[in-house]
Amino acid sequence: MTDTEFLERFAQSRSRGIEDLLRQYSPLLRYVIGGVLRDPQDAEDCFSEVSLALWQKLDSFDPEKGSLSAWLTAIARNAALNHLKARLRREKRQPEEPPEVLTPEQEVLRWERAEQLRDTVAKLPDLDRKIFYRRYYYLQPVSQIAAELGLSQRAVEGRLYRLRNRLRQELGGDDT
Amino acid sequence: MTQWDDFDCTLATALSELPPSEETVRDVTPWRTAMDQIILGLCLTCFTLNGWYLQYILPAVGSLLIYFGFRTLRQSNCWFRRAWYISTCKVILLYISMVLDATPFADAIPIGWMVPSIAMTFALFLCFHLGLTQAAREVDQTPQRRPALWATVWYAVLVLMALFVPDIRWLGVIPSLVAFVCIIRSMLYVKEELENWGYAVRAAPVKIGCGWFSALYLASLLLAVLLTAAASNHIAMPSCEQVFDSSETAAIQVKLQGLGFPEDLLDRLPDEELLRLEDAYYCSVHRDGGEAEAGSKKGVKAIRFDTVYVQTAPHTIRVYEFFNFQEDILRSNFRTMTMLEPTRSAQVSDITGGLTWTMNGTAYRSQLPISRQAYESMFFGSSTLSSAIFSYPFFSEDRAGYMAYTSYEEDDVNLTCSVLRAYLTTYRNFYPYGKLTTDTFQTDWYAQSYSTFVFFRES
Repeated sequence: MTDTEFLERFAQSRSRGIEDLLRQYSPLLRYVIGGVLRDPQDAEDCFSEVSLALWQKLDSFDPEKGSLSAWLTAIARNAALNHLKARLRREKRQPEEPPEVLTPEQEVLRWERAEQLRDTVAKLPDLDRKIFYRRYYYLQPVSQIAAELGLSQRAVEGRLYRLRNRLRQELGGDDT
Repeated sequence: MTQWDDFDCTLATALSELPPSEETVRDVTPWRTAMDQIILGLCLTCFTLNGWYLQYILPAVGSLLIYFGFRTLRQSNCWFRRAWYISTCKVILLYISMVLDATPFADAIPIGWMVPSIAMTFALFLCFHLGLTQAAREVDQTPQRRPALWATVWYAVLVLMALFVPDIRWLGVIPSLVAFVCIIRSMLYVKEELENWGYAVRAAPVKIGCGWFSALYLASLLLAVLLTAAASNHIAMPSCEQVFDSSETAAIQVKLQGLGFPEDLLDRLPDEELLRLEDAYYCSVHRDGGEAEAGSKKGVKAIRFDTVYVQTAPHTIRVYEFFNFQEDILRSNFRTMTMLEPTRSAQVSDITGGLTWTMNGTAYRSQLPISRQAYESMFFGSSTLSSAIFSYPFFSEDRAGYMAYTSYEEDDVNLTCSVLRAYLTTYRNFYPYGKLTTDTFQTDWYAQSYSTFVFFRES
C-alpha cells in the first residue's frame, strides 16, 4: 500500500487506517524503538505511546515533505529518546526539566551549529555517515550496527572513535 | 547512552532537528546490506561470462557475497542458517576447484564438480525462499509474490538449457537472457517485499568484517592459484653435473672437431652421444637457424638454433638440432616444448635429447624426456612427431639443449632436411592449466629452425 493510499484509508476511517498502518509499519517502529530502548518492557510501553501519538498526529503528515516511513521513523525515534531521558531522570531521581526557552540570539546560534553539523556530516564518507546516523540518530548499540553492516564490533568502534575526533575538531568540541 | 559523554549527548540531541535524508532512512534496516549481498551474489553466480577470467572472478565474488549475506541473517531462522551452511560449502568448494583448475587435473574436474555446485545453488534459492516466508510469518505477514521461489524456477530453466542445449548459439541467447532477467526481477521483488516486514529480521554479529574476510579469502586464493599454477607448469628435471674432457671420448671429439663440428656444440653432448659418432666421416654445420629461422618475433629473439649433420654411413646421418636461450627468460622456467620434424621419407631412430645449464658457476646436464605427439599441420595433415616437454631450473643460466636422431635414407637420395620447433607456454595456458599449444596463431612464443643436407657419398 502506498503512502497516499494509507492517507485515503485514514481519511475514510481513522480506526481502519491506523490498524492498516500499524500492521504494515509496526516492524519498522519496533525496530527504531528497539535500537534506543533495550529493555523489552520499555520498548513495548514506548510502542504504545507512539501508536497513540500516530492516532493524534497522522493528520499533520505532509507527503510532499517526505515519505511516511521517514516521518514514522522520526516520531518513533524522538518518542524513544524522550522515554529514555525520562527513565534516566527517574533513575537519578532528578526533577523533570522545564521546556528550554531560547533567546533569539541563542536560537540563531543553535541554527548555525545545526547547519555546521549538517555540512560536516554531508562530507563524511558513505559508510561513516551510515554509522554516524545509526549511532547518534537511531541511538543503536555498537553491536547492532556492526552486525547489520557486516562489520566486526572493533571495526565499528574504531570508526566511531575517529569519527568523534573528527567531529570534535570540526565542530569545536563539547561546546557544540 | 548512559556511558556517553556530553559531546555524544549533544550530537544525539542536535540530530533531533536534523533528521536523516530519505536515502539514509531507507538504508538503516537490519536486512538491506545482507539482502543486497545475497541478491547480487545470486545474480553473479547463476550465469557465466567467459573472458578476462570473469568466469572465475564473478563466481568467487558472488559466492563470497552470498556467504556474507546469510552470515548476517543466520540467527533469524533455521532456513537462513541452512542457507549459510550451504553458502559456506559453496565458498570452500569454489576455492578448491579454482586451485585445482591450476593443475593438470583441470580438464577432468568441471563436469563432476558442476553437479554439487548446481545442487547447492538450487538449495540456496529454496532455503532463501523458505527463510523469507518464515521471517514474514513471524511478524504475521504473508509474502505477496514469492520472488525467491520464482528465481528458483528461472534458474532451473537456465540449467536445463545449459544441459540439453549446450551448443546454444544466438537462438538460445534470447531465452537464457530472458531467464536471467527474470531471476534479477524476482530478486528485486524480494527487496520490495522486505520494505514492509524486513525490519523483523535479526542480524547476527560477526568476528571478521566483510572487508577483511574478502581480502583474506581473495588474496589467499590468488596466492594459492599462482603458486599451484607455477608448480604445475614447472617440470623438475633430474640432473647431474656436466663432465668435460672425458678420456673415453677425447679421440672422437678431436676427430669431430677436425670434421668441423663446433667445439661449443660438442661440449653439450654427453659421452654416450659422442660414442655414436665414432664412425663419422663427414659433417655439415648450419649455425643460427639454418637456411630459414622462423617463428614469432619474441620466439626468434629468445631462441637460437644450430644444426649439425654428421654422416656415419653412406645412407645414414645423425642429425643434431641444438638450441639455446639468448636470455634467461622467465618463461623457460615453465613448460617448454621442442618438436622434431625430420624428412618424411627417412627412417628415424635413436631419438635422444639433453639439456644443459649452469647454476652458481657449475654446469649441469639433464636428459630430455622424449615422447611421440600427434601434430596437425596446415599443409601436410596429421602426423606423429617426437617431442619433449621440459623446464629449466629457476635461477639457472646459459640455458641450452639439443635433440638428435639417426636418419636412414633407403633410396639413393641426395638431399634431406630437418626442422626443430620450440614452443614456450603462453600465460593463457597457465590458468586454467592447458596443453601446450602448437597452433602458431595462438602463441606469440615459438620459433623453428630449418636446414637441408646434401649426402656425401664417399666414406
